[in-house]
Amino acid sequence: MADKDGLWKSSATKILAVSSPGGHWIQLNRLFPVFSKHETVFVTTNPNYRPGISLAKFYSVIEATRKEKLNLIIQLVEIFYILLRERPDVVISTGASCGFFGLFFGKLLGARTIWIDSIANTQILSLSGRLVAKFADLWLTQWPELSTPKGPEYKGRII
Amino acid sequence: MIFVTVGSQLPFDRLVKAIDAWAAKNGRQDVFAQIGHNAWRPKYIKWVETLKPEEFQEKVKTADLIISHAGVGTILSSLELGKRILVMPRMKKLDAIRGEHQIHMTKSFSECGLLNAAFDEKELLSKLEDFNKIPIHEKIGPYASAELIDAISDFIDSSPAACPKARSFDGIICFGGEDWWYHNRGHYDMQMMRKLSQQFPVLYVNSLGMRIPKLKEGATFFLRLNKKIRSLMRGLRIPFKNFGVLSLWNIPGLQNNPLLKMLMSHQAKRAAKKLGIRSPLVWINCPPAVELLDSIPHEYLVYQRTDRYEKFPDIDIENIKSYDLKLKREADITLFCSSLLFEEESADCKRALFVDHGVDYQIFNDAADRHREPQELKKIPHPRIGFIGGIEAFLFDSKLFLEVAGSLKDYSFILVGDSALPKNWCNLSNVYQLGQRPYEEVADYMAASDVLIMPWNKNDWIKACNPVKLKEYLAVGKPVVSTWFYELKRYGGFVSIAENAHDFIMAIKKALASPQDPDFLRERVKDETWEKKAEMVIKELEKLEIITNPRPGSQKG
Repeated sequence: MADKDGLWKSSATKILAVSSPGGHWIQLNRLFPVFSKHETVFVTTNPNYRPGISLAKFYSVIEATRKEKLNLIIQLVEIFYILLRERPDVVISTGASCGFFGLFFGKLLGARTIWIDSIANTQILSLSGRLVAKFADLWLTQWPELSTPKGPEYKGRII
Repeated sequence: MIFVTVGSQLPFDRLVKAIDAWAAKNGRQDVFAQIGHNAWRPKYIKWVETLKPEEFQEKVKTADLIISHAGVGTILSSLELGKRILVMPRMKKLDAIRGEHQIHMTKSFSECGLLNAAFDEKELLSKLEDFNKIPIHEKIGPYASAELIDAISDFIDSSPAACPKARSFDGIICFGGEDWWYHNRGHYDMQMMRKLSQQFPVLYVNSLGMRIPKLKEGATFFLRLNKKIRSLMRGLRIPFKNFGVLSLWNIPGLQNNPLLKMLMSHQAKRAAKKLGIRSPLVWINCPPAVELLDSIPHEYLVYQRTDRYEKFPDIDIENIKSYDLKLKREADITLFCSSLLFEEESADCKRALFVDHGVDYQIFNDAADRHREPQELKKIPHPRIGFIGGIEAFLFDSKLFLEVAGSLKDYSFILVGDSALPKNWCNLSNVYQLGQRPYEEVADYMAASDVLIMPWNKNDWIKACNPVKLKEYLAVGKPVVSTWFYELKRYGGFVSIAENAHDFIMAIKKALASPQDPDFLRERVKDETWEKKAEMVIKELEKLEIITNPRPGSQKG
């Protein structure tokens, strides 16, 4: 049955890695050994990062902070569009609004989702890190002090 | 060179002003600052608002000292390159930011020895006095810790996205072994379908037939033809909610004819669609239906191996055998209700499961309690010996029965069920052939009997059979006398076994003289309800979804 339907044909896992630029981006890129094993698509808000990842597919979306509501909405739509186009199996993010949208829509479209809260958050999780709890299948913090039995978990740092 | 950076988002004038004053005072020409948009413009040192990522990297690379706000990007870049770094965190009050996270982070990082901190301008200036003494953290590698990489990789590799998604079905198409309209409705597949229809829409397709009817059968041929045509004329009927019944136009025994195949699968699919079934589980209790599998897309396949189909008389044995083997190999579950077949054949199956018949325990038990004697039995004197069920020539040992009934002239023998035997097969005056009665009433006929019997032929079919009526007989709490078949080994002490007419007569007499305790007999089958049996099948299907997820090859019978 399975063979007939072609269900067992091994398909490489597709990852969508999304974060805001700067520190979040540098942290995300330190996960390179994970990305190198799979097809990975990168998303951030700074088009200048394109040259840094010449081998992978790259999208840039509009930059937005929590004060720029209109930009947030445009960013949300852009990220939803990218997810619809790419249909990744896994969405992974280290932070901020575009990562939150990525995990939210990723979950909606049936992907598995990973959130690694920024190493900068040593005493309290970031706002997006707290909001994303419901949509993250793997919800991580980089500070053991912040891990709780209900999550997030601590499973090592990006350094 | 000293590189000062405040991040691309906000200015950090407090830091830049302090450095500019320090550089002017000490005459340092080699200070370069990235100060952000709309920031205070330094007077002495060189500055830009923002840097491109590669320019930023270049500055970090060539700097002897990096002075920075508490930004993860800068800190990580410095650590990767093994640079000396001095961090002054922004503060909520003085620098108009949301919280004190920069201070928290600076503290946590400096506790880990990753950086050197200055919490205000004064501390910054004092540390700058002799900045060559500020310790340098050893270079960190280019990637995250192995612990984190492994945790994430493990998660991704275990992700079902890497494997086929769990399949689900939205209804059942059952190719039944009987005809809903003219067989007793106690059969395994019908009962199972009734129970399953509480959860899924079900299309019950009446038996396709296993052999080409022959004209020389005479009366039987026309009788069958007549029934079949009447069944066909009904079209798709929905006798219960979520439960449809359909007969397919076809010629029994010719299911491999391509034109007929097309015609049949089209009829089945159309009816299924009407019931809202789009990705069905196909349940086969009629092996020739395997011919239709290719043209009916389905999610799961269940094969109900009730009997030794290939021992059915007058069929194309090789054909049925090959259907049977194919089904056992391909079905996600092969259901056995005979322990003999299960023991002999489970090795041939992709996945075998033993779920024997259930019984509508409540109906039969209630019938025994209320003792509502059917009108037509009132004239028939006790003791009554009952056989309740269809009479098929190759199953029912008419010779044995006639011998027994002929010897026990004082006893009444009641036969309830459709008979496929020639009309005049029995002329005994103490035998009452009542014909078929609705399934809902047969319990009353059982309860109105004193002993219930099963005089079976001795053939391979019977040897491996597990008649539904056995449990029904026991559920009404009546003594049972039967010829031997393998399944009875699970009913030691509950059924009297007789191999010939003499033993059969003795057993009936004994059962009448000292009947077993009805409650003892009922207890044996009390928990074997159809609900429980259907649950077992559903559980197995649920389990199967889990089993089919991991890699191929992991599932073996």
